[in-house]
Amino acid sequence: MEKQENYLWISLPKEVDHYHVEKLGRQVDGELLQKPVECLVFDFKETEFMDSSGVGLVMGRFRTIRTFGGRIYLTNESPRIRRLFQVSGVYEYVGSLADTENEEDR
Amino acid sequence: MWETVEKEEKLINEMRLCFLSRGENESLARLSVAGFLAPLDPTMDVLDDMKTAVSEAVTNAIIHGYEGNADEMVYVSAFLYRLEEEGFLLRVDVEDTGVGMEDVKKAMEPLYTTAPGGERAGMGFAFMEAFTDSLKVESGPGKGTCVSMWKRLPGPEACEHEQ
Repeated sequence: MEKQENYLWISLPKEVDHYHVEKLGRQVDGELLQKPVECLVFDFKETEFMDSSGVGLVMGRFRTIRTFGGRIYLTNESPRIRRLFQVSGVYEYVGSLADTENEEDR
Repeated sequence: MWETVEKEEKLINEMRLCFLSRGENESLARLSVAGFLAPLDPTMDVLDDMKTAVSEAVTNAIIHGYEGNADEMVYVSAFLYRLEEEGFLLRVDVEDTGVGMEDVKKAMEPLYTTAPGGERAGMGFAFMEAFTDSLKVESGPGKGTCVSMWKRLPGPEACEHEQ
């Protein structure tokens, strides 16, 4: 977890399941309540496995950050992880840094 | 549909696994099922689908079936059938003897969750349905829950065609 002036960067573990991210959600909420940030980033660079716990983690934080008016971005999602978030409709609420880069290219 | 197909096909392998309802065993369960499939040389997609589906079912057994009590047993069974036409059929059962569900249909609705704190997405059954070919849930209050999932697997011949 890395916190800067206006963003909080969360590097997710290799396995994003209920057991591995159970406490992470509460930790992130704690950080946000202590000092709100404009931007919360979930980085999936190291993640090799994910189930619906990842969806719960992101949407749970969406509910928290919504109160402060901040935004959530996902980054380095593998095609597999991307599909899990698409199936759950998560991209309607959070952005992807990959999409942002593509927009800048245009 | 696969439930009826299964009865007429040849069982070629079987696995029974039981473990304590502890969160760290979620990875044990999905890796065991992946290992069970390894001799078939399945694609990454098939493996990822089954790992996600098994992870959802085992998480449900631990969090909902046993309500987080880590001293109970979760049972995972896997059956592999050779299909007469082509390829294989996998069935995985994930069973608990926990509290069970009054209304299975309601529990299977996407976004529905009984877990407090908003930490669960309510997508468990939706993921199981999305990543397997067939899903059956048997449950009742105080009777535990048994989730059966079927997945059709292509034979080695089919994989060669794809390449």
